[in-house]
Amino acid sequence: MLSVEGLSKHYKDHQVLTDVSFGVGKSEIVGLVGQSGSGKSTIAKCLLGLERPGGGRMLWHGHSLGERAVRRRARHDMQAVFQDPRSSLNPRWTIRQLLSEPLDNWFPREGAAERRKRLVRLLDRVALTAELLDRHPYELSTGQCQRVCIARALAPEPELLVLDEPLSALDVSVQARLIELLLDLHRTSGISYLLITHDFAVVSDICQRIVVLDQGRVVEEGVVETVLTSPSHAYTLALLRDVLPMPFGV
Amino acid sequence: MSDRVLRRFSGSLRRDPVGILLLAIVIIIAAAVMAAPLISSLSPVATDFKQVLLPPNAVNWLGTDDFGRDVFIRLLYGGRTSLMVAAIAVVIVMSIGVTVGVVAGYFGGVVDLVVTKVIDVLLAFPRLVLAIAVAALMGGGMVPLVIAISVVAWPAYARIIRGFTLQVSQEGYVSAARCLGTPTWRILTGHIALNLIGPILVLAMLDIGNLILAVSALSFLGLGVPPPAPEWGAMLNEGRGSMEIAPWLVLAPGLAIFVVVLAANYFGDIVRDSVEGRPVHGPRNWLRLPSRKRYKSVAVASGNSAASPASALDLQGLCIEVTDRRSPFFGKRILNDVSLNVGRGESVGLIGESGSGKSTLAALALGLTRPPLALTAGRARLFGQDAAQWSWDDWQQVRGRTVSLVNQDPLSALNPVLRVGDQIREVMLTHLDMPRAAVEDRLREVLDEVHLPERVIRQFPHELSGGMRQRAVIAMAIVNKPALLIADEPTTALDVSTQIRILDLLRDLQDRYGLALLFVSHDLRVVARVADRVVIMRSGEVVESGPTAKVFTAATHPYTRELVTAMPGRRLQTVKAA
Repeated sequence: MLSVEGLSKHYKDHQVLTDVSFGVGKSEIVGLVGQSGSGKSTIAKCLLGLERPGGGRMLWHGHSLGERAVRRRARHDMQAVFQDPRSSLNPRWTIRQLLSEPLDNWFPREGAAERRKRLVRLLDRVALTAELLDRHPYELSTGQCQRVCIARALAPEPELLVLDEPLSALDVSVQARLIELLLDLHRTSGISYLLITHDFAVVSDICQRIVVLDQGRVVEEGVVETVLTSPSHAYTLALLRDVLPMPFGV
Repeated sequence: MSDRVLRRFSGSLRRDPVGILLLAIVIIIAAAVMAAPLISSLSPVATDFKQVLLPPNAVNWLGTDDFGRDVFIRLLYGGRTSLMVAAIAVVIVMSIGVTVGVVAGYFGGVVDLVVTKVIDVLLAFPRLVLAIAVAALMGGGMVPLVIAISVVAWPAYARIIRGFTLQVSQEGYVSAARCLGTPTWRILTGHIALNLIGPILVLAMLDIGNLILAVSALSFLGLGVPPPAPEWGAMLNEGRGSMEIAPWLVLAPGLAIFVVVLAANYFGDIVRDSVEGRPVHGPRNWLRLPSRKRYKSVAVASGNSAASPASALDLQGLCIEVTDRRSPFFGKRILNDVSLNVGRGESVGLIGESGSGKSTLAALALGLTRPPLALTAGRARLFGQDAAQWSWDDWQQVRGRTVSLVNQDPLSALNPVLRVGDQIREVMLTHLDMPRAAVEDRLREVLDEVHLPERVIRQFPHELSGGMRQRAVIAMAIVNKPALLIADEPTTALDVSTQIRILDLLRDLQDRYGLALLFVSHDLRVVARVADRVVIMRSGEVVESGPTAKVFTAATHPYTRELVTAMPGRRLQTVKAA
């Protein structure tokens, strides 16, 4: 569905991405793992059209994302959730306005009743109640804000969600509930995820395939079990070793 | 404008008698100016040479001018012109400034380059001289006056708004909107301009005074509304000749301009404070801290002495409440009957979700409980002494020396414009009277202890990675060999590989110094690595505490069990075990 071929990017003299290639298939959950500074967020920005890639190709269903028509289609098919849910939500808008933004963009001719039904359904999918519609983001907890972000990303009914460190700003218990939610959504709608994170523990809980990134290069790619049990690259091994162990074997 | 801003605005106005007085005067002036024909049937332009230069009297409240015209009615009608021209100019200037600034800031590139250069050129001219030139070229009258003022005033706004736009464009919601396929014009209006309303309002309020002055100045020079129509600036000019025999001719319009401009600037300040959320201005708002009896000698500074008791931090039945009546959360309990004990050389983990009160507790241990919060019940002992009695000065001697803090964000904990070495030296020199050489020795030693290379002494925080920055903060915290270290979410902002190294470093330092450590976190895995004992908090109450192993393997409270099962990485664990 999505394939990245030889993507590279540099800012002035600093090479951020070098010859990055990987793909995400239909209904697949792929984890993109690397430390801070490995260039993983830059990949997300290039995919989402927020940055121009320096070289290489990004293909969406076989067509280059560099073309306007393809990008326009991908604006609908590919949605994103970012790290900081508070900054991702316009503080002056209510939840209703926030969720209506993508609906206005993609379903502009909807009637009021239909719109309301859709809003309630969206909130329901992320396990929030319709009472929140007229609240502002600052009246919600950070976890609820992130759920609103997910609901907003789901609104256009995309095929792929790019999740850029979606859990890092949240408490562990809230993280666990969001992981459940993401897996649930995947099971019911078959949506694909590209999960970008530095935390191997999270990746191993959610993903089917893992791409490991070190200093802008893909050093390892494979099915999650293989990468976790027999990593072929020293960097992967080091990352795995750094994951905090479960205390007292609980 | 959001409710919060309005609340703050009305709040600061209520505490500000001068503001209310000025507001009342301005409202009266505005009402009088608008209702001029109703107030007096006199004509502002009708001349009567029988009554020239009359001093203020019962009929002509502010006297008459050298054409026998009533000054008071001219002042009213003149205010119409002055204020209307200024108001129209503000609207025009704002529209142009905001549009140009937002477009330049959002699109950047060539558009931005061209716009910035044009603005630079326009700003290079003195504002008033350029306005005079434009007004003179176009001839007198109201429309040229508005145009002249607008032409010279917009570039300054455009530049400021461009700066704000650059900032707002970095916000996550702007990227999110682009990803959602929102059309550009909607992003510019709904996301960027809407969030600039605060600064725009402030600028408008602050500059309306300037614009009134500019209108008056141009009219004073004869470039405004042509006579005989009244205008404040023009009236000043007309009265200039007879200033000595009829001072009311100059005083009336002069005072009117003065009061309106003063009020506009004053409100500009109040609006800015409410929008930016700074502590509200005005002498009445200086928070006076309850002054306590000065603590005699800070024996606590020698926290390592054998005479002091076994616990470093001892809290008994502690309650912290919002005690400021003005706060919307007045009466809310942040900490409720919290008891916690950190022994000397012991490492205690404090676990809780955001909002559980764990950071409030950490702040208490550093004497940083500030209004609107206050200690309402319970006892807080630090090294056996009643810390609740300490004054700010007593705490100053303790903080950074006996008790120190490592917090979540190393980037904000370090001063961006000072070299790392200077920041660590400062901590030593504040507390200890050390010879230069000893400071340098200790500096090198402490850097070695936190595994930082010596070169960071001369480096700035932005030159370091996140992990190195946090090491620098730890170095600052331990350089004076404190007895108690408070670590408030010290690894949350770091990635996993850095996180584990920082944790091991803290554990290592704790062992080596016999340091008491209060480690605050929401992550059980993190706490398990450093803490001997854990305390679990929820909504301001301690729900469970005990030795780390026991709490993790045999939790009694359901909330603890929930936290234990929430830990991510189970699959990884089974794979690793296999």
